[in-house]
Amino acid sequence: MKKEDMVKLISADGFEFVIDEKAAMVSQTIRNMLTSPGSFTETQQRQVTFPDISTTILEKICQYFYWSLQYASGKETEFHIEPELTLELMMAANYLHT
Amino acid sequence: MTVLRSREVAPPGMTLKTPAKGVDIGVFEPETPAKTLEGLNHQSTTSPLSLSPKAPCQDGKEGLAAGSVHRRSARLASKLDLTEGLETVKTFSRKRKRLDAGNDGSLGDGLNLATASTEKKDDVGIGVGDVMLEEPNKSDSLVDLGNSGQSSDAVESVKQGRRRRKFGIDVELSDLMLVGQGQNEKKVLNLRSGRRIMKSGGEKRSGDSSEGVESNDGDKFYTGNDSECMSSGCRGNGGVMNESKVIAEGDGYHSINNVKKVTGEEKGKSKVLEKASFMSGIDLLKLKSEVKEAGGNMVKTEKKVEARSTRRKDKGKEKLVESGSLSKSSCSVGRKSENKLEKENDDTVSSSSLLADSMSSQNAEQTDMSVTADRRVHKVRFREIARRNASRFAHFSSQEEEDNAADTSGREIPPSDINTETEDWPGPFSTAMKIIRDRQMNANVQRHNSLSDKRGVASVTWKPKKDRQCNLQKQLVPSLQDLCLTILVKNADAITSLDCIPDVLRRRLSQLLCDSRRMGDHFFGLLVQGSPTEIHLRDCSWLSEEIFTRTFEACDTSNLTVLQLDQCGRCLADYVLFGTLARASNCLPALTAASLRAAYRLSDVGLSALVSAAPSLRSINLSQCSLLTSDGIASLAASLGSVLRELYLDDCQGLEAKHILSALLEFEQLEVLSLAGMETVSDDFVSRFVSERGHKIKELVLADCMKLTDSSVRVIAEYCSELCAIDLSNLCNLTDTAIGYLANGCQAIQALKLCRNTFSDEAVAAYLETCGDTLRELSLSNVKQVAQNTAISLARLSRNLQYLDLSWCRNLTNEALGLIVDGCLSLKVLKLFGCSQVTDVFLLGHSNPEVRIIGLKMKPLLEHLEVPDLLRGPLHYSSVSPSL
Repeated sequence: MKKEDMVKLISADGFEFVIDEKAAMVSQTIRNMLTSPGSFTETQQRQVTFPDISTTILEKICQYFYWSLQYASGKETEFHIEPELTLELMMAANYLHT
Repeated sequence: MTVLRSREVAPPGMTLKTPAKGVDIGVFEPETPAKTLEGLNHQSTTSPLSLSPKAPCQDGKEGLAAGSVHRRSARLASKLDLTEGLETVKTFSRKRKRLDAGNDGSLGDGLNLATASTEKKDDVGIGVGDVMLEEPNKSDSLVDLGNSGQSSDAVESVKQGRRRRKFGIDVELSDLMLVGQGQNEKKVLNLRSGRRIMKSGGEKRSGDSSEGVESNDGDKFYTGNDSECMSSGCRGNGGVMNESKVIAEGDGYHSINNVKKVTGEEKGKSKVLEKASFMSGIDLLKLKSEVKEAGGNMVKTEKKVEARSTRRKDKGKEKLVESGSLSKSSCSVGRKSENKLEKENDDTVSSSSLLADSMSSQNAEQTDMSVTADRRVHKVRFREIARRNASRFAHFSSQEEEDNAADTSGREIPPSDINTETEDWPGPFSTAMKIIRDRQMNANVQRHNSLSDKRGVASVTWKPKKDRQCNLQKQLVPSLQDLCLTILVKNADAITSLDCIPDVLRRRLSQLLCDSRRMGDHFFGLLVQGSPTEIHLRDCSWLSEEIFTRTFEACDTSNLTVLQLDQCGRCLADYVLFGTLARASNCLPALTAASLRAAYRLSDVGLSALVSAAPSLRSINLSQCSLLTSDGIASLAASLGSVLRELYLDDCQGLEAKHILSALLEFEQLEVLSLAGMETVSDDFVSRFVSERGHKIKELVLADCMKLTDSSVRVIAEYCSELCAIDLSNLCNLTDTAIGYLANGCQAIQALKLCRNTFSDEAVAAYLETCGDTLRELSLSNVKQVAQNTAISLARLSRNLQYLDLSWCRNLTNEALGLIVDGCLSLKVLKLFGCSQVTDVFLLGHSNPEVRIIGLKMKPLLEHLEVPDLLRGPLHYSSVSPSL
């Protein structure tokens, strides 16, 4: 787990989530941010800030990333979502194109 | 009574004639014409009369019922001869003469034989004419034809007969294979010409009484409603079938005159005709019915108030006679009849000249006439002909096109217009067709030696790739959004607010709820809460008036841009509208797009109230609003004529195309027009609308408008250069030429929907070669002939294709589908309902990770429903202008 393979996602409250690059790429939006040509802060420092996504939601999203990788590799389990999070999670997922 | 007299006269005459003719058939033949004449002469109460003269013939006919064409022809021939002879039936001669004269004029160049025959008829008629003067009406009609006031029955018949002879030779005889008939053998049954003839006949009937061409009139009469081509004789192309048709129709027409009898003679004729082996089944049937009709007509003519009808009958008879004479079995007979006719001519020089005039005039008329035949007849005939010529359709027969255009347009298409179609042929489409055909031929040649021929004409080689697995996994993972949506749908009642949720998600949520029948008052309230910008309800059938009223009364509609209340019939009546959406004159100031599908309680009044409440309305969907009438559309045009961009009027049963045409023409900015299911839409409607407003039209939906033919597509291709989407589902009258027009004319088409059309594989492939690049959506559902050529073209050229529907295309093999899916890189959805030939070789072997294959293997039903494009704005082809 080299440093180069990790990406940092920062929530609205300032919490930083460091995850695998491969996991982050599940989100099309993040993928575009990190791989787009041009000198964006995201590309250089390998971190993305989400001012409108709360911590709990961002945490759930990161969990989803890993679950998705797991699912794709064959292990198909159920991804449980707490109902109270669903609405916000849906909006965040829509934004992240995941 | 003349009836009696004619009866007396006819039989002897008939019997006399028989031996003179030397026709094989013998006794019966001569009688027939006499009967005809007599029948014609006696109006109204003719039934007995008609029967009487025909009795002898009938016997003969029945005797002939053995079904030999020979007999029939003999009978007809004898009839012809009889008329020609005229000696015995001179009673009718006078009338005939007049009629014939008219006929002659119209026929013009017609056959000498015909002339002769007509002349003869005159002779026959004239004699009877005196007797027949009972019917002043008839004579009047005759006058129309240019004859003197005598009852024109005889004349008509004569004329008709003459005309028939001239043309009938071509028309009817062709079917019957008139052998050895000099004139007779003019043409083989040419459906097209037959059609034309019919048309002209019909036209005549409808229009020109004043023409000197009695025969034309007579023809018209025969055909009754669609009798246009009664004058088939004149055309000389149609063949027996045409005549029979005409006759049949004439019968219908005659019903007006109360005389519905089909003389036995006629019937007998029809029977014989039917049995003619020469005629195709259809033709025979038609001829049969027509003959019957003709017979009936003949009988009726006497009774008819209008001489025209009689004339028709006469003509029918004449035609029959002529056809009979021309029929193959009796070349000699024909000859004889001809000879006889000529003899007659000698006898009646003056009359013959008259007849000639009438005939020529008739001919002229007929040739000039464009189609105005009865729709019914046309349709029937057209279909028959189309069916018969189906094999020719693939060859871009310009003549077919002409016929189609002429037949169904319902208005005059001067020959020049029709001919110009052929000029358009050397276009990119035809080039592509040629290439495909050549390719096919080469493939055939190459494969001629090879034994395996499984793949069809053009070989499609495709093999599944090995490393498919990894690619596909990506698409199997459910997205987080979908997961959330699923949970929300299950717990919709627990949602307390939709405040911050963007419209896209609201719409998706609402759609999922409606689809799973979980939509309820609560969520509806949430949707309407506050000041929403969009309200989308795909299904309001659960909604009651009370809840609707209560909810919308509290709604702040000042920001509402899009309102979709589909299936709202239960809750949306006029008075409800007045209380909620239309409560004030400008209460929907921002409303741009409104969809009120199936608002079956919405009337014109409610609609205008809604429109006055929404001044910035640009798109309105009023499909299945059965109470709407053309007045409603007119008021819509009056208020929104200059701004409306999209108008959907699918399945509005209260609307008729021709009544809304003027209103539709008032929409200056119309981009989308949908008239699916409106059966009254005709070629004429389409061309008139499109020629005026076609330049802005971007989407046209004409599904299920069954009357349309290639000529509509031609006009569309000519005027709608910006067309982006077109739906031609279920238009079974379209041929490959239509696809050609589209390919050559509309270069910007992105969505093409074809369903149950009869296009050939090569045509579709050629279209793709020409315009495949821009296509994003293509539906070829139930276009049965789609096969390898289409697959190859799709794979090669459809880079932008996203939605492809190949349901029920059973000629596509696994390999073809594999090629398509691997070649269409943008393909997202592939529908394959009903493709039982598809196996796992394709399903597991293709290597396109993005594509969703729907329709096989028991997928959940809702998956294949069209999901609206959530990212599309309220207007499909323009952007929403800022609110006023």
